[in-house]
Amino acid sequence: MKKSKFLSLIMMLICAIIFTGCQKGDLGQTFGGEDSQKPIFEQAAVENDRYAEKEIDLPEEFLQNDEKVLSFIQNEKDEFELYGSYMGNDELPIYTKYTLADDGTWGAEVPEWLNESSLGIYCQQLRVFMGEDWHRYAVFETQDGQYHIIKTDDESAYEEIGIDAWKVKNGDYYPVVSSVAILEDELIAATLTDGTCQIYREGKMVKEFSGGESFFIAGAGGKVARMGENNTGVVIYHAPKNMVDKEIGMEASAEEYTPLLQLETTYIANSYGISKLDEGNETWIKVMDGTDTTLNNPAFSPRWLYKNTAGNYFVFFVSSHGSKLVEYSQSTEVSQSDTSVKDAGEAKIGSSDTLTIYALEDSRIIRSAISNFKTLHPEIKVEFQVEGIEESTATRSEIIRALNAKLFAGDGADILLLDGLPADSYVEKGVLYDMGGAVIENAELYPNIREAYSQSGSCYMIPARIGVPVYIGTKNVISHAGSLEELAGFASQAELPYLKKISYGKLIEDFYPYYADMFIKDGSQIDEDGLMQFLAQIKMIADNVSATEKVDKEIPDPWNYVGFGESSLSVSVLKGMSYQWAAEHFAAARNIDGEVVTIGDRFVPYSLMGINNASANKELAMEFVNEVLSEEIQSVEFLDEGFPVNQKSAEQWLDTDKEYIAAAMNEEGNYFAVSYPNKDEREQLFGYISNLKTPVYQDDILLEMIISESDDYFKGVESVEKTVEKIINNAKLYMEE
Amino acid sequence: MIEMKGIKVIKFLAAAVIVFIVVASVYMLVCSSFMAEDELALCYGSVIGDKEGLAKVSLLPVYPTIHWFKTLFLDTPEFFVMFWNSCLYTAGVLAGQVLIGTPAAWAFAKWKSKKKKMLFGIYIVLMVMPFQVLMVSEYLVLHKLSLLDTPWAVILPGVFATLPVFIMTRFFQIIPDSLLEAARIDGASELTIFLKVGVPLGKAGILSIIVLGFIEYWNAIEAPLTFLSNKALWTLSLYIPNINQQQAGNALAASVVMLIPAVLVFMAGRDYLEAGIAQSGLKG
Amino acid sequence: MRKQSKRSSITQNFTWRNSWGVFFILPSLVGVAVFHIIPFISVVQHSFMVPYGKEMVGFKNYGIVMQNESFQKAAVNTGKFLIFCIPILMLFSLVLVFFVRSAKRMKFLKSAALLPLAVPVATMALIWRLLFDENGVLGNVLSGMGKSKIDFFHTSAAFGVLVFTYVWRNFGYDMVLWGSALGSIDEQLYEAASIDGADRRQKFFYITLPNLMPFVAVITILSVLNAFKVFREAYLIAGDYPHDSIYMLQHIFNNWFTNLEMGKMCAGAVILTGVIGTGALLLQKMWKEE
Repeated sequence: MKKSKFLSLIMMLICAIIFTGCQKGDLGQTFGGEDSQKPIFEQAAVENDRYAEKEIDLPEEFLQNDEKVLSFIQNEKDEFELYGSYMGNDELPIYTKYTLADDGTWGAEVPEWLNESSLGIYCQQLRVFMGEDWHRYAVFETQDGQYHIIKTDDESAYEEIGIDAWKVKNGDYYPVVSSVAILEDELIAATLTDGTCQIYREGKMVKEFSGGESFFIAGAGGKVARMGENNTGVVIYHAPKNMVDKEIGMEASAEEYTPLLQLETTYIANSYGISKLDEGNETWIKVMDGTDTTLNNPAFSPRWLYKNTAGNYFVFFVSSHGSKLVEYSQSTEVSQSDTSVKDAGEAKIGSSDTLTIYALEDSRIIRSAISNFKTLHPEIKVEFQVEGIEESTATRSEIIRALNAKLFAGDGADILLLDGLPADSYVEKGVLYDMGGAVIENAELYPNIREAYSQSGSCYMIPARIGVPVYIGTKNVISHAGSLEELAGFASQAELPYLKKISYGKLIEDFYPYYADMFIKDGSQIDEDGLMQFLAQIKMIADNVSATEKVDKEIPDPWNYVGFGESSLSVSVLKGMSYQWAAEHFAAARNIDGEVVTIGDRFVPYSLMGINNASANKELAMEFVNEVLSEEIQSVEFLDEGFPVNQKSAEQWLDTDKEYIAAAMNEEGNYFAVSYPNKDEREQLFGYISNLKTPVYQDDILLEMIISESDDYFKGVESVEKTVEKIINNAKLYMEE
Repeated sequence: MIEMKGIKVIKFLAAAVIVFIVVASVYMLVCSSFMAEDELALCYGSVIGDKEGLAKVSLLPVYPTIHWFKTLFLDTPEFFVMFWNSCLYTAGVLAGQVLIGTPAAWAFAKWKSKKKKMLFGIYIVLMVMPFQVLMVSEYLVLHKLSLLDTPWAVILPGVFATLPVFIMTRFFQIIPDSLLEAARIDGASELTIFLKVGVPLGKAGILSIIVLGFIEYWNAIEAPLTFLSNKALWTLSLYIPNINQQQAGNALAASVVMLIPAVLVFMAGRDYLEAGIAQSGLKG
Repeated sequence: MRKQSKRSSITQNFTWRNSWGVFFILPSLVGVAVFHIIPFISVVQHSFMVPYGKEMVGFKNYGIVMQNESFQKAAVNTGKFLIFCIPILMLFSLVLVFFVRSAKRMKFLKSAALLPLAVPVATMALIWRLLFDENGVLGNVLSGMGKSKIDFFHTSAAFGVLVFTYVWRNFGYDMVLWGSALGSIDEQLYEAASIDGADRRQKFFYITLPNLMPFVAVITILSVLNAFKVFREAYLIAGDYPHDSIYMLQHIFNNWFTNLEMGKMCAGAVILTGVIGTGALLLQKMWKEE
């Protein structure tokens, strides 16, 4: 007995020692956790967060000519060179080199080696790189699609370095080079669009690495730094040793980031700020907190990062509407507004110099608006508190309860993003401020969206963005998709492949947001007959496509299967113009001469903003809401965050045509071309948007209950009456609460 | 003879039931935490992933790996923060309970007064009340005192929990009054009597509330979740992530690590624990 | 201090002798008042108010709560759970203690029985999910025996799982309680009965049982206390909306809070406190009178 007690005490001691040992170094790490605004852990390792942001004006000539940014490099004299190009009269590109002097002025020069006649032939994608030998290199693509790299000593003459790997076609195409870094000992590193990173010596490939995603690389010494997959770390390749040196993970950043490798140290600029990784170290140290700066504005992506000998950082941003050069210098004076990151709980309501915004999930449009708002009100500190619910160990309802406790105590953020919060309950209880006329009379907003959120002159919330739910399908099926009943009726008679391999749950999930009002009356009653009809109709579709209880893997992009002719209908939500947010949907419909139509007049609200009634900064909050709704902010596209609610911005979107060519491919190797939605499609889409009137039904708890109770019915072992009884029995508790 | 044998069999069965239901589940946990991701997916894929079919039990991992523990210890700094938070809160609560609860319990046991009975009744009612009942109002109080989002928000309500007072009162009650009277005649002050007679004789009670308290506050979930919005202050129970295919291994390893201190404290203090529980049941 | 009290006047001495307890209790009482009693008074206040704001509505919230079907269901479930699981736990542990009491490895067994108390709730929830999920280990065992699998969390079996969880965690606790109760019975009573020719059964019904009665009240109160704690497990396993058979009062309080239904929540809390308080005081009386 005594012995065992002694033993356990010893073991406890050992455990404690192990824990203390492991803890060292780990704790010192800057650990941002799931959101950009509220680091999980105090940033013990922030070296110096007192950096002032200063925008450096770009050369006037460059702006006047509306030049394209080619490259931004740092030369041996610690100066910066900006390379721009524009089309000359003879349809040949004209290149200019602008050099930034110490006093902030730009000198323009003609880089002879680039404008030399032999290069003047049609070439594109030209970029300039600075080698470690302080020679300038340029990479470009010639008309035949082949990439070349040239090197110059005196900026007037150049020699080409032949790289064997670039001369060999892979199928129909030459390898496409995305980024190049020139290392010591004449080593050249390049990333290709197929995801590999290759190292060449004297034109011969000496090593090939894979396992990165980003196109941008940085090199120094014998090493190449590159983003890891999903932007969660930096892979460092050690070229002479022919090995992957290490992959150092870091907090995932919503936006891509740009690396800088300086011999021993790797630097990174992303939405959290600038971090560094010293040689031999395993953890990133944040040298500058960027949450209050342009770095955290998703409308601008950091493209080049440099550090000069004075220790200041220079970041060159690119965006869809212009570039921006920013210098971050260590400020000696104590700035008037506190820029340090505070914890959510410390935020005091009523302190007029702080505006807090609370959200369960990150929102790019809000961050972008914050960045703009800061330039309008430099004296105001804006805090964006994001819970990051996906990564959190606490459930949604637990997080909401913590928020409710705050609200109940008269605390809480000034602005609430209501996505995922019990918004109706907040309105009913008087938690939200009536924004009234400020929104209702905002003529720039779509009247249909305004009206959807106003009731007898009151308006408690307004979305910053909307998504458009659509059916994509063949004309025949679409003509029968007016209601679920019609669709189900069609399915019972005709062949309606909805989707290959779909589960009952997914099928319900697809239709529930649009047809839940078949059985939900007055928001708190379930209509038995309505639910029976709903389930019966879903079952007709389920039977038609032989849905199953479980599928190994849900198909991530079902709309493409419509394009391949493998299914004739798909339900999806359009959330943006490009890629899988809309481009693929329209391309799929185009490919089969099908259609994309809205589902009734439903829309999905994103970043639904409401103002806390207990806020002492209501006017300021209102101003911020208006900023989010302004044409400037609304005009920018933020990936999957939806379409603008501002009509003027929508017109801009409508008029913008982008070059975007891709292909959708299936497992069998079939493919169809995907391009940016054309003018007609865009007109159709924005025509839809101006008619959407009803937000979708978003009650996940009820959805979950229906799904979990209805398997037996779909399998055919239980009657619909029994199933509905079970669901109602369960849901009653919830609805009656 | 036959009767004796029957009883022996029943005794054996009873013992076997105890051992089985306790050890089997814990064993399963420990064993699974050493499985690689593939094996976990194979065994429990149907529960935690999308795999069809049923979960399998394996008595030993086919390819044991300490991968999950490595990840936990080397790559998860937040785990340590939460571990130390749990330690801090538990230690704080226990120290406070002993310092403040013991004298109160002593008075409840040995102070001759009519009013204390009513007070003790209030303590008992508070002891039984579920956390959810007072959750919001406690939040308001902590808000008024500006204690939210500090360790005190979890520690102070714990320090003033009434269950330990109840248990210790039971311990002190069995100390014969005659001992106290003897001390009083010797001229000892009440404080001296408490320190020289009460504390030494009630040592078992104090240790038992430490062990019981450790188990209780090591498990704290609701209070930290409600009163601490800064995740840097959260406790270990909140670390154990929602189990899914990718995180299953992490969750299992974290569970095992969390179990270890509890079991160690438990083993070191089980005699006192037993005594403590037994005492609270004794006639008052 | 000591010398002072010796010399002090009779009246002073008298006061100190009678009121020393105040100083002992005071620190604890102040804390309990601040962190538990004042919050409770505030709960009572809010139970008469609108959910968000200061407007008084009288007993309206109580009316709403009493007629609320979900609250009724939760109250019935909680009551059912208490009535069901507490006797099971108490009987089960009593039976076990009878058989194990004289076993050789008593100490070991008692320790093993207490081990579940040490298993962290979060850990337990994990084990339970692996065991009781529709496709979990038990499902496997059942289908191995040729029976159809049961979804333990989404059918009325959930109630059984919860009772099992409660018993699993607390049987050691109650075994020790009963053990000490049995230990307090005077052996001489049994010897005397043996001389009178009483058999085992008679001894049990005429000596053991009556002597255990005084302990029933205390053990019940501690078991109730632990029964409320089982919500943690239910919550971690099945979330906010478990199967309706294990939908407890704590669930509805939590969900009300999620929707900021403060009035309902506080009224419900006051009602629950009233019931618990009455029960506890009755039980306390019971063991005081014994």
